[in-house]
Amino acid sequence: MAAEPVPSLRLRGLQRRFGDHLAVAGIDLDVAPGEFVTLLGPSGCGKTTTLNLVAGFIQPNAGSIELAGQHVAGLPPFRRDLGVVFQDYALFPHMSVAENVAFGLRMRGLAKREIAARVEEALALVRLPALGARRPGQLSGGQRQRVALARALVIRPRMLLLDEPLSNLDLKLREEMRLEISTLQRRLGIATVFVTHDQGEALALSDRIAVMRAGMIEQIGVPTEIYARPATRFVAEFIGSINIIPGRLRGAGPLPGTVAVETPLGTAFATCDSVPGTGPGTGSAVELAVRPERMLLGPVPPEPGDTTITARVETAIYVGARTELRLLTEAGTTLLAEAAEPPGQGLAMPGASLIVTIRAADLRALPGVPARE
Amino acid sequence: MMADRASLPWIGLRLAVAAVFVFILGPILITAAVSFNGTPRSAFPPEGFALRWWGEALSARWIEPMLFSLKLAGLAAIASAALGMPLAFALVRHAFRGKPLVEMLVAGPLVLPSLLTGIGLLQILHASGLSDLVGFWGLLVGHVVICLPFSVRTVAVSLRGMPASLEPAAASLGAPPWRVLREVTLPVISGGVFAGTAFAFVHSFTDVNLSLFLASPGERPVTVAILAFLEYGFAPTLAAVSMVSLLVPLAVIAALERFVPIGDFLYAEGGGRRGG
Repeated sequence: MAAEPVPSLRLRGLQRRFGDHLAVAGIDLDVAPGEFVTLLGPSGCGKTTTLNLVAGFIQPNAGSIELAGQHVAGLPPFRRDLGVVFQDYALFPHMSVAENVAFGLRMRGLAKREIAARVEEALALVRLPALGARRPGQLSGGQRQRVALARALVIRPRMLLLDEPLSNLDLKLREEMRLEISTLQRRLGIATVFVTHDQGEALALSDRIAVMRAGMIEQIGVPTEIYARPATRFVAEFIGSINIIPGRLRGAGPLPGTVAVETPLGTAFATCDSVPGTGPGTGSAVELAVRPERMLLGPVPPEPGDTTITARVETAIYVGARTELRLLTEAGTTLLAEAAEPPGQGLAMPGASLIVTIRAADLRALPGVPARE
Repeated sequence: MMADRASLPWIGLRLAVAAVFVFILGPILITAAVSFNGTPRSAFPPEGFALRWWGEALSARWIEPMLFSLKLAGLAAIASAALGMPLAFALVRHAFRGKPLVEMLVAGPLVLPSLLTGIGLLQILHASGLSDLVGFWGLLVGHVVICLPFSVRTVAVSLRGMPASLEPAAASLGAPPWRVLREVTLPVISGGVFAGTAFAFVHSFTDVNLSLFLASPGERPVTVAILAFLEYGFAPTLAAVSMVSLLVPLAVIAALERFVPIGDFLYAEGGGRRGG
């Protein structure tokens, strides 16, 4: 294998226990220089604990943390040179904006003049040049967020750690800050670990997403891969909405890499990632997953491996760019689909029957039992 | 939204508030009026007008216990702040064996009549052969005991109200623990520390129950001196002295209120200054 650059962050077998609860249950993760990696998961999945372990706020029970090749076990947080942005921004209320940003530089014993220059530069970077004299209490949520970002970046940290930095902002501001963080991160080329429970943020910002569950990484990959090829039902359901159809494996499908599955809707053909022989065997329970927008409605040119279903439109809900349909199949299964036209027009006609086609590439066979015992 | 202001509950509330004001302010105003009596009788309404009782109240005879009280309350407040701060840190931040016991001991003087604390301390001093300490030092120890709950509580309230992320944020920016404490934690909780110190000062300055037992003839706070003087009857002098000893704590609270919203520490569990 070719020599890879030393990762900015390398976690190996990282574990942290709180009492009887294993909050982080063995995590391996590499973050390349300049890479933006998101830890995504529901609350209690261990993502913030992982971030706190990297920052050094808490100590691991097992495993190792390397920053740019250096083991940091036992290194206190004030020697780790990491820029951390907290969910509540954690601005010091008794200091002005400029004093907040200057704090890390002062701790490093820099000369007054250099501190002033770098504070000014950092505030300009986050587009807040004129607010240095204000107190955090006088700022809006978005402005506080920028100050927190400037304060973390001004020390020129080895990495940026962001703990749900957008969740206290309202929707419009959140999207604006999301873009800003992304632009800034790419411009500075700083390796970043971002913690969130918001799949939209994760998809929009990340080079790679690590979906976490119960202290472990369930799947890690680029956003398109996580979305289009979820490895487990948990990942499939956590990111976006998805239809899950239970079934039983019947053997190989008509195309390479596909399987035939017996379902309440009849025999369906799905893509299966596991190598033949190592994955689920014939007769074992599987779950089929398909995104609502991959349900093709109405007549389409047939392809080998298609699964076709007849269904009736139960409800049609207009959400602006599209209409969300709830379909009821002849077998009594409810499925979600999407139509381009507003309710009452074309295919989005409640009460009407239609043909649904699912391509084998869009229907994914997932292990029917949780991947972990 | 709001009930009609002429409705029965509103009228009732107004009457209750008015009654509270009458019963709190009434005695003070009467005492103030009496202190300007023209005759040596504590008549109300005052007969004539004279300032000589105020002159007496500010003579050496009363100034001395007044200064004694100031010194005692000042030192008791500082000492209970110095003890209360680490205690509050320990109680809020750490779990340790015997924590409920420490909590009880700290809160104890709040619920225990200070009369009992006074008797107990006096007996301890006698039993341990430290009778010489009765007077200033005995008083100081006693006052620290009864003032401590105020310091611990206000500091604890500010510590609990401080956002949990401030200290890790400072640490991540390169601040070792002692600088985090000095530059972030202490400034953020300073409001609570000041408020607790002021409460302790006022509590000590106005205490009479405990002081009765631990004062010695030459070393007694003004409250005990007033009580002793009462045995000879209530003269307008006493009214003037009472007014002076009321103004001192009032001035302390008024000065403090300018900097710290004291109400936060009296009513709110999560008081103190809030983070950005």
